[in-house]
Parts: sequence; structure tokens; C-alpha cells
Amino acid sequence: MKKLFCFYKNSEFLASDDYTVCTHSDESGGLHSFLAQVQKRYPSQMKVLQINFEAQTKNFSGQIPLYPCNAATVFVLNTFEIVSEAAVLNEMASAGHSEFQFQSLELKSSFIEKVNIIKKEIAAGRLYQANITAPLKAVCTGTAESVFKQFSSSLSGQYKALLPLSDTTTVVSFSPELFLQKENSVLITRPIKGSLRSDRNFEQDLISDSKEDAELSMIVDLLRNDLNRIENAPENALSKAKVTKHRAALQLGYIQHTYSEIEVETDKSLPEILDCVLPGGSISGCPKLESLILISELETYKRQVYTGTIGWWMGSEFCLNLAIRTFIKHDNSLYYHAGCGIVYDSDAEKEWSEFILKTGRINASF
Amino acid sequence: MKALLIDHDDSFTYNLRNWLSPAFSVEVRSHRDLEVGSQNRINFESFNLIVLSPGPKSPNDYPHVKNFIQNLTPSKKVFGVCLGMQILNELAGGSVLPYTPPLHGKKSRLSVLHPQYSKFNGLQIARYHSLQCKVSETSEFEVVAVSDNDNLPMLVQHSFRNWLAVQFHPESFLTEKPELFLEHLKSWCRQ
Repeated sequence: MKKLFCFYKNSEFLASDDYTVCTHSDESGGLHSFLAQVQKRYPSQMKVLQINFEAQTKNFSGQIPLYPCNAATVFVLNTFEIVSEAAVLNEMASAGHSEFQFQSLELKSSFIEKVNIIKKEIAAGRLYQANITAPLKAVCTGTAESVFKQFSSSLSGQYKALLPLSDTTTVVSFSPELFLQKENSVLITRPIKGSLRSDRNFEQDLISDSKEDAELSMIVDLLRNDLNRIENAPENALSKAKVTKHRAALQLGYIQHTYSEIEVETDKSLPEILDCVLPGGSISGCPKLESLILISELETYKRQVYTGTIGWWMGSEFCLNLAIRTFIKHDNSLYYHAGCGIVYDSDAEKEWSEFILKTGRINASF
Repeated sequence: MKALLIDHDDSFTYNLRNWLSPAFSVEVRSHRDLEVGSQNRINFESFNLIVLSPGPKSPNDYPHVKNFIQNLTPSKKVFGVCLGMQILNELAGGSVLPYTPPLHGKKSRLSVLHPQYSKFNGLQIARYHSLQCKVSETSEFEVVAVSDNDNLPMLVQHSFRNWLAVQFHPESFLTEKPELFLEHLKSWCRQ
């Protein structure tokens, strides 16, 4: 079997070529029971999972898929090793080098029009923020491993993975964003909002910007809500979501961000938790239900793997990224996506620049 | 005490529930349960307090909620937050208009007009609204606190019905001393 790699603890990776694949194809629901069945059948085994953005939402039937893909895939690892990133790269040493040139599937004029529609809807009271995204496409004859090797230092996200979803489709993720991590009974999320070119001043140009402050703050309140929803006994003070970090710096070399951290104590299992939090707040908008309806009105393509989640799961512990800064290789096509949170104060031209900035290291033309 | 929290498909409802929970046993129900012909009838008589959540869109999109509130006896205690306050304001004879620029995830401070509420003066509050409440001379609402920077009604009380409402979000992490507002709501409910 094709070898998979997934981020694990202490900057190390899970590596396995001996696994059982369980898939869930129904986009209209049933994710909870699918995951519960996998857990029941393989209670003590290490699992690596990938869930699409659309897996838990019903609004996206009109969107065009970019490649064939299940709504969710779980790799049940029969055996695995825990290896360093250097060892992962060493295994990919013979993967060669891929040349490709990305082309945005969204024109600047259309992106700007969509930003302005969102701003109009915000002014009308329909919502506070919506995350608008678009795909880019390249022809790539090299392997997914070569893509991993080429970007592993320049995209530098902490939550990297390479997952062969099928014979023709492989995901290569360099996500810097932690969606959910549970250790013992503490559940943590770290939403990222607020972006700036890395040559600009973090304090002056990001921290003192009230638009960037508001953009992250409303997502913090949204994720507090999603974590507060998990436990049914809010009279227990421990089960109240707490903001443990707000507007901290995340430096990625090609871009800098602000992020926050929210935590809650819970004994609920992963399928129950995902019911309350999917899709992720930072990549949908606020209020979430209304933003998902607006996204389905505006975005042309299904997001599929992008802005879904990828990570590992064993028993009551798990760690899942938010699948941004992620490549999907299908046959000779390579896809990458970028997106921006749009608020009323957003400047459409600036958001387009941010969209380009987020593709900073991948060789794209617009 | 028991509170019924009417959720307008909002993303802050469970923050509101957890903010209320030290003082109330809270039941969350969808606004759709108030629609005529809904299969999920609510026995609202058993609640000490009805809370109207924030939410998307405007009061006109929730005629069934307006209808439900209007038919309650004047003594029934109702607390509205953001959209909830806007719904109550229309019922109390005020109007709800767009506000430019909308304020979402922004902070202001309370400027209190009524001595009974002086403990809230100067507190930082979280704002999430694109619409504003106009409270006219003929309105049944009395404005007891406004925002310090743009002078909009932030805390209002009804002159003869047991209605209290806030434009700001007491459940937000951006709001200072949320427990003080809860304490007030609790003692108001006991009156």
C-alpha cells in the first residue's frame, strides 16, 4: 500500500503502509454514525482521518466537484512507525522534482464582486463575516511525494500530512491551523484570523488594526459557542469554554497571522464533538448557518478536502488540523485553494492581495 | 429559576446559555417551534424568563416570534439580546434601521442614563449589529444606557411590560464583568 504520513506529537510523524481504509460517501449526513461504527470496530487502533468541508452541511449540492472524493476517509493503521520529519523527507529523496504553474480558477473581477456582495449582505444584517475561497489548478506530472518535499520547508505549517485517498488522488497538507486537539479531557481549538505580509510590522500593521482584531474576535466568540455546545451540563463551570490566548503571533516565513486559543473540558467522544463544531468556524463565517448558505450561493466549486479536517485519532485522544494550505493531486492535476474572511471593513482589493499572499510560495499566476 | 432561550439560528446561542446557566436552568428551543402548526409546541408558562437570542437578518424575518411575544401577558418576563432587542423594540412602537458602519466584534463602553443602573457605567461591551433601534418619544421603551462612542440605545426597559433588552452581547468574551449583568437579570426576575 502507498505509504501515508500524518503529523503526530512533538513534531514527529505517523508513517504507515499497512492500513485498512474505511470510507463514507454520503454528503447528506451520517458522518456521526460512520465514525462511531469505525470506533466500535477498531476501538484501540491508531487512526488517521480526513473529512471534507461538505461532510456535515447540506447546502452544497449545486457546487462543482474538482475531483472524485469521499466525504470522509479513515485509515485504520494495522502497524505504524513514529518518525522524524527528516526521516519522512529521506524516504521521499528519490521522488524527483515537479515543475508546475498554478492558474487561479477565479478571476480577480469575480472575486472582487463576491467580496462586495458579502459586504452588502453584512450591511443588511444577514451576517457578520463570511469566508470566501477559490481553487487554483496546475498540471503536474510529478508525484505527490515530490510536492511534499518541495514545500515542506517553505510552507512550514505544523500540521503536515500526505494521505493517499485513492489510486489517483493524494492529499498533501501543510496546514498551520489546529482545529481540535484532545488530551485527557481537555479540548483545544486555535483559530487563525488576521494576515499580514512577513516584511511588515506585526504590532503596527496587524495588532493595532481594528478590522483584524474584530475579524478574529468574532470567530473566537463563534468557537466558544461551538465548544460550549458540546456539554449539556453548563452548570459545571469546567465545561465552560475559556479563551486561553487571544491575538497571539504565528510567523510562517511567507506570511504572519494572529490566532487565539479556546479550551473546554469534556468527556465526549470525537463523533459527538464533531457534530457540534463542523465545519470549522474560522473557514465558514458568523453566524455559521447563514454564512454557509451565502458561501453556497457564491462559490462555484466544492471545497472537498480543502477547509475540511485531517489528523489522527486514538481512543479518546485526537489531533485534527484545519485543512488549509493543502494540495490535492488527482491524476496529472494539482489543486490548491486560498480564501479570506470578509467583514464589513474589508477592502476588496486588499482581500484579493491577501488571497494572492496565501498562495505566496506555490508559483501561481492570476 | 427556568429560562426558555429562543434560538434564531445564531452562532452565539450556547455562549448565552452558558452565561445564563449559573442563575437559570436553560432550555434552548428553535424559533421555528413558534411557527403556527409546529409539531414541537413549547409550554412557555413553566418558564420564569423568556430570552430572545441574537441572530441573522432583521425582525421582519421572524413574524412568528413577534406574534408569540405580543400575545404573552404583560407580566411575563422577556429578555432580548441584539436581534432579540430589535424584535421587542418594534413591538414597543420603535423602529429598526440599518446602521452604518455595522459594528461586528467591536468594543464600546456603556454610558448609563438611569441611576438604578449606575453599576454598569463605563463597562466595556461587545457589539455585533448592522441594525439599530430607534426609540422615539412615543415608544414604550425607556433607554437606560447608551454606547459612549456613538450614543445608540444599548440597554432598554419597557414602561409597563416586564421586558428588558440589550443591543450589546453580555455573553461575549469582549464584554467586561458579564456576571454583573447576569446578577441584575436574576434579581429582576425575582421581583
